Amino acid sequence: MMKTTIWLVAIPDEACVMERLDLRTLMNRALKIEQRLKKKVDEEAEQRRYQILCDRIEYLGNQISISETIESVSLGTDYLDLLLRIQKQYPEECLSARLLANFCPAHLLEKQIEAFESLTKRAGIGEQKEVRDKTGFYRRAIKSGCHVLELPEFISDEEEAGDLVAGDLHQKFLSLPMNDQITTSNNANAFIALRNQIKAVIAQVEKGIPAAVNVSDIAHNVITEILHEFVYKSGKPMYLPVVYGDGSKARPFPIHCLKPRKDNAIKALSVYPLLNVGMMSGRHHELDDLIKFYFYRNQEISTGKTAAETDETAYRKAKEIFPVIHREGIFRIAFYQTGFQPVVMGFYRALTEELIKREKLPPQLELIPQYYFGDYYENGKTWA
Amino acid sequence: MPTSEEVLDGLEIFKKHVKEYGDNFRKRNKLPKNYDFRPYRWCSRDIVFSLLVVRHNRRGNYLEVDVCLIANPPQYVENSGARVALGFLLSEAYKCGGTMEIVFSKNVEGGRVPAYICDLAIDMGVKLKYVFEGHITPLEARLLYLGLAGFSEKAKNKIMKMAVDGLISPERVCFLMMGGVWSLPEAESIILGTGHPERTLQSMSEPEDRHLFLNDLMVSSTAILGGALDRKLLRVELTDNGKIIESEDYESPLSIEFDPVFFAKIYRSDTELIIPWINENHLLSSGMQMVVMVRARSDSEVQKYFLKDLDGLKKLIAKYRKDQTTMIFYLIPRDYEDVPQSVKEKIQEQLDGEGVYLMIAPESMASLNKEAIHRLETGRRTRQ
Repeated sequence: MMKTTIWLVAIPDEACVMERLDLRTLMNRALKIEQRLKKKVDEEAEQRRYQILCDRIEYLGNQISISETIESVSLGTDYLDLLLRIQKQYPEECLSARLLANFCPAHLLEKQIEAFESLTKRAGIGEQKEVRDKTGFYRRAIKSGCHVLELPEFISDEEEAGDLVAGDLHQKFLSLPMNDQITTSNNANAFIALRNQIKAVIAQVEKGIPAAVNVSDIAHNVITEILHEFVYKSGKPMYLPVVYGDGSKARPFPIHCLKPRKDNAIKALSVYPLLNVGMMSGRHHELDDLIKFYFYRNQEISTGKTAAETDETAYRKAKEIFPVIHREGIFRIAFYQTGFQPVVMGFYRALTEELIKREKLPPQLELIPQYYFGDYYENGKTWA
Repeated sequence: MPTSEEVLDGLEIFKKHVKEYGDNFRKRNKLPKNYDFRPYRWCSRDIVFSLLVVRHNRRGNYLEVDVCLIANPPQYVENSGARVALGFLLSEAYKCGGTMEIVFSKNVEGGRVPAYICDLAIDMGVKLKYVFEGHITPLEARLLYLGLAGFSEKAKNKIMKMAVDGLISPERVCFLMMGGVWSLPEAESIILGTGHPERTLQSMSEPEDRHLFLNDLMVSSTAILGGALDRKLLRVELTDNGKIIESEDYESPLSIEFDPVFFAKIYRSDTELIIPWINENHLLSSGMQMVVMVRARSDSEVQKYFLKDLDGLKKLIAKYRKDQTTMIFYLIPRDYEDVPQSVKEKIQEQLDGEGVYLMIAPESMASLNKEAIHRLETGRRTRQ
C-alpha cells in the first residue's frame, strides 16, 4: 500500500541559499499567497502559484538536506492519519495553525508548534510518538534558530489491508437507508412539483435516507416562493440538502426557521422608502434605469465554476453585505431578480440566516422579490 | 422481448426526436439543457447497440426515458446492448443530479422496464420491483450500477465499506469510472492501494493542504502510470488497406489484477503480446504472467528510493516467482533517463541480479502530474 512519510528537516539560516534560490524568499512568497487564499479572490491562480512555490521549497529542501549536515527526523507513516483526524475535528483551527503546510520559517516556529500542541491535546493524541517527535524537533529548531521544512516521502509499506468480512459487510451495505420507492405523480405545476420534491426530501432525511433537492432548471420565482413557504412554515427546524444539475452539492438551506412578522410590524416599516435593487449586473440592461444598484456584480459571480461553488460565492458575498446594511439602519428593498438559480439560492440562504439573527428585534429589513413577466414585474412574498 | 411493432414505433419516435433536436439545437448552434429531450445512438463502427432518448424530469427529479431500443449483436458478449444502455442511463441519472430513479415512458415497450434490461438485472442478481410500472428505484439503480461497473470482489467490498462508513457514495465511485475520469484498473489501484481512497477519488485536498494534496497527487500519478501500461498492452493495431488503424472495440484479451500490498499489477493474456518499454524483446505468452511494480518517481526520487524499491521487489519476487512462467518488472517514468549514467548502471546491475526487467514508460513525471491534477480537478467537480 502506498503511504506518505513526513520528514522534518531543520535548515539553518546560512544554508538557505542554493542554486540562486533563496529558501527564505520562497517561504515569504508562499506565506503571502496563503494570506491571499484566505480572501478567496482569484483562488485557482493563487493555488497554482502556491503549488509552484511549494514544489521549489521541497526541491531546495531536498538539495540542501543532501549536501549539508542537516538535522532531520521521520514522523512515520501514521502521521498523515493523525493530521486527518485533527483536520476532521477542527478544520478551521487546522487551517489557521498551518498544520498541513510543508514549511515553517523560523519566526513562526513558536506560534505554530504551540497551535499544534494545543490541537493535538484537544484531539486526545498529545501523547502519540509522532506528536512528541514533532514537538521536540520544533523546540530544538527554535533554540538553534533554524527554519523547518516538512518533506514528504512516498513509500510502499507492503502492508496488507485488513480483510473485510464480506457477509456482514453486504448486510450492512444493503441496510443503508436508501429510497426504494417510485414517484407516482408528475403532472403537477412547477410550484406544486417543487413543494412535493421538498416534502419528499424532508421525509427521507428524517428517516436517515440520503436525499437532496435539485433546484437546477426550476424558474427562480418558483424557487423563491416555495423557499419562502418552507422557511416561514412551522415545523422542526432543519437544513435542507441541495444539489444542482451539474451534480455539485451546495451548502444546505435552513427551513422551518422563521415566524411571519405581524402585519402591524410590517406596516410600521412602510413609512420608509422602497429601494430598488437588482440582483445581478450585466444580465438585464433594461433594469439599469429602474434600479439604484445591483447586489452582485456579474463579474464576481459568473466565474464558470460549478453551480454549488457559484451558490457559495453568492452566499458568502451576501453574508458580507448584510451586516453592513444592518449597521446602516432600516431598509426596504424591492429585489429585482435576474434568474440564475445558484445565486438565488445563495442569496436567500444568507438572507434567511440574517433574518434568523434579527428575529428577536423589530423588523429592520424588508425584501420584496420582483419577478419579470414579459412586460411587467410582479411582487413576490415579503421576507422580513 | 419487444415486438416488431414496438421496435418500429420506437424507431419512428426516435426519428422525431432527432429531427426536433436538430431543429431546436443543432441548427441554432445551441446546447440542450438537462431537461430537454436528447437522442443518443450508441454504436461501435457500423454496429448499433442502443438508441436512447432521455431527459431530466424537473417535476419528479428523475431521469425520463422516452426511447430505449436495445440490440444484442451476436458478435459481442451477451446482453452487450443492455449493458451499454443501462450504463449510460445510470450515469446520466447521476450526472443530472436527480434521485437516480429511472422512469420509462409509454413509448418504451408500452411503459415497462425494457426486457433486455430486466434480463441483465436478473444476471446481476438484482430484483426489480416495478418492471411493469416502468420504474427503476434509486436503491435498484445503486445495485445495478455497482454490478455493471465490473469492479473485482475486493474492490467492491472496499466500496461497500466506504459507503457503510459514510465516506463516499458507491454511485460516485461508479460514475468516476463509467464517466471516464478513471479507468477500471486505475480506479482499482486507487481503491485498494491507498489508505484513504475516498480522499483521492473526491479530490478532497486543496493545494494549500500540502501534505494531503501531495499524497493524492502521488497516488493518482502512480495509478495513471499503471493505466498507461494497461492501455499499451490492451491496444491492438489492425491494418486496413495497408494502413494501421486502431479499433475502438477490439482489445487484447488481457486480464489485469492488482496487488495492493506492493502496488503492483499482474497481467495475463490468452494470446502472445509484445511486452513494451523494455530493452529486450520479450513476449507475454499464454499461461505466463507478468507482475509489474509501478512507481511514479522523478529522477531524484529514483536515486533516493531505489534501495527501498529493491527491497519491495525482492519481497514481490518471493511472493510471485515460483517458476519461469512469471516475469517481474519495475515500471518507472522516463525521468529515469536523467539519472547519472553511473547510478543507472548500478541500478541495472542490481535489477539484473534479481532477474527484474526495467520498464521505462514514455510518460514523464511532469506529464503524469499534469494529468493527475486534471483528473483530480474533474473528480472534484463530479456530483457528490
